[in-house]
Amino acid sequence: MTPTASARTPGSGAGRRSHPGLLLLPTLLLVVLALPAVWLFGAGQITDPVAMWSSVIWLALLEVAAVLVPWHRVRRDGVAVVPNLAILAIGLFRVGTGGSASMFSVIILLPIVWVATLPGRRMVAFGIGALVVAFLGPYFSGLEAWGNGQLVRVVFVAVVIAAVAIVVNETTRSARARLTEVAELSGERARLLEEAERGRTELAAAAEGLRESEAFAKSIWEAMDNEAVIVTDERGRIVGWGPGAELLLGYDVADILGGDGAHSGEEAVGDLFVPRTVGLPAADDSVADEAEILPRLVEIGRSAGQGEGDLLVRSVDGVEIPVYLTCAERRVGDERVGYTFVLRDARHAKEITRLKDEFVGTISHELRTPLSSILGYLELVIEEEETLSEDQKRFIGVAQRNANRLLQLVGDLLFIAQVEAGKIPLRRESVDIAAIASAAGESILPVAERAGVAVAVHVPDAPLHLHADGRRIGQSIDNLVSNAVKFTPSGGSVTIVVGREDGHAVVTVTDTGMGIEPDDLEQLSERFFRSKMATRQAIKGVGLGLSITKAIVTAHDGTMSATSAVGEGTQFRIALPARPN
Amino acid sequence: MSASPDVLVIDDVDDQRELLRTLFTRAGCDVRTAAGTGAAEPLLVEKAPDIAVVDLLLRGRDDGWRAMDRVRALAPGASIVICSVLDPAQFPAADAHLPKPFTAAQVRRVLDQLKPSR
Repeated sequence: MTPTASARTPGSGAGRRSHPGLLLLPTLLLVVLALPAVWLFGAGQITDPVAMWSSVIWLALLEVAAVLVPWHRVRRDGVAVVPNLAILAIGLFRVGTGGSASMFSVIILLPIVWVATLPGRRMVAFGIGALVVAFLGPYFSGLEAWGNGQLVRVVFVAVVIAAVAIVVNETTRSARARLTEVAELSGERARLLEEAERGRTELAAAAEGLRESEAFAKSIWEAMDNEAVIVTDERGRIVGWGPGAELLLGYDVADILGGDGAHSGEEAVGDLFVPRTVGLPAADDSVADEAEILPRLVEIGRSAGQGEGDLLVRSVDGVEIPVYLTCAERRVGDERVGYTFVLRDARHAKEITRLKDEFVGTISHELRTPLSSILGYLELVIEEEETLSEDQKRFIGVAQRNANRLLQLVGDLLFIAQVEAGKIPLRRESVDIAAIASAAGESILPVAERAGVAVAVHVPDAPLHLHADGRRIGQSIDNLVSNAVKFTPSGGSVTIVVGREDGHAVVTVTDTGMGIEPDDLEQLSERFFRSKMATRQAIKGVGLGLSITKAIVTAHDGTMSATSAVGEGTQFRIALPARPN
Repeated sequence: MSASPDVLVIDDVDDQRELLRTLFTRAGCDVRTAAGTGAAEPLLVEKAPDIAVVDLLLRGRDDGWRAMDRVRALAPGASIVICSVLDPAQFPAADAHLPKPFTAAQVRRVLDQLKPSR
C-alpha cells in the first residue's frame, strides 16, 4: 500500500487504525471483571495470588504504556509488542487462577486475535510463540506438573487458539490484499480524474483563445461592409458571403449559403458577373460556364487595374453594378483551397468621372464662345489693315496666336472628356499612314532646326493604308514628334519609322533625349501628368498631349507603349490595326 | 432673288450675333438678327430669308433644333447654316456648317457654297 494511496483510501488508513490503548482495554477489563467473579461467585480459585496480582498490574502498566507511547513515531510492527506482552500477562493470570484448570484461559483469545490481525505472517508466529510460552511455560518452569493430566487439554486448547489465530491472520491478509487492490484502483481513478480535470482546463483555455480569435476575425469580417467579400472554394463555389456583399448585391447570406450554411458551396461566384464584361461571349449573356469564368475572374482580380470598373455584377434586382475586383488565393499550408474575392462598388467613381467629363464638356463649350468672339473681332480689326501700324499688327498677331492656343487646349480637353465618356468622334476614311508620318516629320522641321535637332523619317515605299480618322492619327503622331523634339537637347536626333508588323501599322518615334524615369513612364499618359524632367527643365506644356495620343490610338483599337533609358533617349511606339483594302 | 441675299441670324450671344451681322453684311448680305426662336418668328413671318444662320446652344429651353423647325415651317425656301461651338460631328443635317470660331473667309465660302441653290 503506497502512502499516497493509503491517505486517500477510506477505511484502510493508518489514521483509522484503532489505538493500541483502546484495543488492550477489553483484555484489561475482562481480567478486572474476573476478580469479583473469583471472590464473589467462587469461580475457580486463586492458586497463586502473587502471579495473579502481578499479571493485573502488568496489564494495567501495559495499558498505561499503550496510551502514552507516541505510536505514530514507532515502526508499524512495533505495536505487536503490546498484544504479545498481554498474552504473556494472561498466561501469568492463568497461573494465578488455577493454572491449566483456570477458567480464564479463554481471555487470551483477545490479544491473540489482535496479533493475528496485524499485517504479516510473522505476527501470527510471534503470537503463537507467546501463546506457547503462556500455556506451556508453567510446565517448564515447574509451576505445573507434567503429569497432572491436564497437558493434553492445554495443548489441544493452545492448538485451537493457534489455528484461530492463523485463520484470522489469513482472512485479514486476503481482506487487506483486496483493500490494497481497491486502494490502487481508486488511486488510479483519482489520477485519471485529475488528468481529465487538467485536460478540461487546458481545453477551456484553448477554447477561450479560439473564441477571442474568432471574435477578432468576425469583427473584421463584419466591418467590411463597404467591400463585398465573397469567399469560394477551389471550384469557385461560394462558401462565405460578407455583409458588404449583402449590401452591394442584395442577396442575404441565407439566400446564398442557406440557413446555417446548409447550401454552402452550391452557388458559383461566376454567376454573379455579367459574362460579356469578363471578356466571355455567352450565348444568352446571362450565365457563363463557371469553368471558364473563374480563371478570368482570378486574372482580373490580380491585375493592377482590377477591371477598371468595367466589370459588371448583377444584383438581386437585376441591376448591373460596375465593380473593381481583387482576388487572393486561400491556402491551408501549401494547398490552395479556394479564393477570396473583394468587390468594390465603382458606381461612385464612375459617377464622379462622368460628372467631371460633363463639367469639362460644359466648360469647354462655355470657353469656346468667348474665344470665338475674341478671334472674330481680332480678325475684324486686322482687316482694317491700312489703319494699323506695324506694331499694332504684331500685337494683334500675338493676341490671335494665344487665343488660338487657348482654343486648341479647350479642344484637347473636350476631346479627352469625350474619350473618357466613350464617345470619341472619329471620321474614318482610307488614309495612308506613311504620308501622315512624313507630313508630321516635315511640319516639325522649322521647330527642330531652331532647336538644333535632326529629324529623320523612314517610311515604306508603298503607301500603308488604314481605315482611320486621318486628322486624329496625324494629331497623335504630331504629338509624339513634337514631344520628342521638345525633350531632345541640341545636337540630338529624332527618328520616325513606319512599318508593318502582324497586320498592324507600326509607327515608332525615337529620340536621343533626356529619357523618362521608370516611375514617370507608368503615369505618362495620365492627363496633366508632367514628368520630373519636363518640370525640372521648364519645358512648356500642360500634359495633355500623350493622353490624347493614347486616347486616339485606343479609339482606333490600337496600342501605345513607351520604352526609355534616362540620359539615352525614349522610344514611343503606336500600333494600329491595318485593314486590307 | 436679289443680288444681296437676305440673312437671318439666330444666336443668343450678343457679341456673336453682331459679329455674324458684320461679317455677312461685309460679304454683301442684308442681315436681320434674333436672340432666339421666339424673336425670330415674327421676322420669318415678316419676310422669309434666303439664309438662316442658326446657333445650336440657345438660352433657356430654346435650342437650334427648335429654331430650325420654325425656319423650315415659316420659310421653307431658306437655306440653313449651322453655327455652333459644338463638334461638327454633332451638327444636325443642314445646308452648310459654320463651326465657331469662324473667319470672314469661312463666311464668304459658305455664301459661295449656297449660291447655286439660290
